[in-house]
Amino acid sequence: MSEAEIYAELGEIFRDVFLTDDIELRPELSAKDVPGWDSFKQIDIILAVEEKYRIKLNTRELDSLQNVGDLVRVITAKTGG
Amino acid sequence: MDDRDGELVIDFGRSGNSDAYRRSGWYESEPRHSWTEGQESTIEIPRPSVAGDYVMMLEVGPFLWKDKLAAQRLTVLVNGSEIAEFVVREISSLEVEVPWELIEAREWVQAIFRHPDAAKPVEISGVPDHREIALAFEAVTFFRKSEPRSAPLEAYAVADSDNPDMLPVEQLMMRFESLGENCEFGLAQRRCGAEPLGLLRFASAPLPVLLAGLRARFEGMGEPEQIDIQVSDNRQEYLVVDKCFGFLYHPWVLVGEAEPEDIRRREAKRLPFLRRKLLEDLEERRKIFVYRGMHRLPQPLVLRLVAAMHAYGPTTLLWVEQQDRDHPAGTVEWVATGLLKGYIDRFAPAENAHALSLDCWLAICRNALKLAKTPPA
Repeated sequence: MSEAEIYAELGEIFRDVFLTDDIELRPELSAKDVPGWDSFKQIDIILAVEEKYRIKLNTRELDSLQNVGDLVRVITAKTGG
Repeated sequence: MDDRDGELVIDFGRSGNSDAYRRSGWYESEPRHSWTEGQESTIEIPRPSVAGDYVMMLEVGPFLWKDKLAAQRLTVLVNGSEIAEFVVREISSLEVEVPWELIEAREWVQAIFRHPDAAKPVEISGVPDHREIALAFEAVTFFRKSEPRSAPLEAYAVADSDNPDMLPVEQLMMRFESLGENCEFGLAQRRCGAEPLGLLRFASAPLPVLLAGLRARFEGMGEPEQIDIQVSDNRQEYLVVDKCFGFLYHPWVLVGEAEPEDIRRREAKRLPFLRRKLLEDLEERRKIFVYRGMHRLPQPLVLRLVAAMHAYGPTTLLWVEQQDRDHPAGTVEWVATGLLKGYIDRFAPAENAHALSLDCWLAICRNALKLAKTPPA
């Protein structure tokens, strides 16, 4: 699976979680850039990612996530992309 | 107390749980304490199921008036046997050892407090208070004496290569995880832009409840039938009650924003995920766990918490209490293996955890991280 495909699929997840079409995903996008992106939303994003890609993120991976690019890298590594 | 392995905290404040244990000799509870009535007061608590010697900690303040009444004498009897005597001259934590032989034969443990210097303020100081008072009880804590823990000291060093003095506050606060007792530290993290994912970050987690959860690996938490959705006293927000252990926490959903069933479904997904993460965090050495009691906690009881955490791995607990004469705000020190104690200038008021002392929390966290990198020899 290419990074572009992952970004596209993550875009759907973000739209579902934040209930808006206005978020444009880019690698450096972080919680600071999106109003309402707190730990609760972060959990919703991670749960949706784990379900969609059938992966489990461990605590080190979770704590290392600083932005969307980090999340894409973890997904890529875990799905063998 | 069967499911709590012997720990019990009796809160004598108005919203506390003391009604279930108070027998004779008490006035009606006030916001933070209950005054004794007359010269003798009694409590009864169920006998713990686990055999062993126990400790009863009394958090009390005496009624004093200059030279006229300079101290209150206190004698403690357990199941009829006199086991401790004190002269109380200031707000104190009094430790009473309770041998198992004294309590094993009966279903209930009866504690009698004799305070022969009880007096009426109206007669001593002229204050128009006709009650006959001696001691204001804030809390009684009952727990089994801790077994010492032995593990190589180096195993307790927190794995962190950064210089705590140079860390931006957001990164600093991400090194810590709150275990309760309320959401004050979780909110301090939020004020710094740190949003760690923590099972107990916004929970009410009294120590006996936390101990029960830790010992059971929080098994069952998050199962739909174990989640109860309630409305807060002010009718403005929802609260989630975990029926497995008794944790209470904020889902941060206002009444009207969602239906209770929607919240239950959401929590049934989130809680197992957060439980899994907490168990992993407890097994690693990267984080320092933080606990502050809503009342002053006796160290032996906190050591039981440390022991419960060490069943997972050599983690470090930062226990935070209010500053005292010997420990100014911001001080952090090792008090036992795996246990740091920090001192804060003030805690946020119970009714408003947002009104917290952020600078002091940050100083405590920086000092704690420095110490945690090198456990005491």
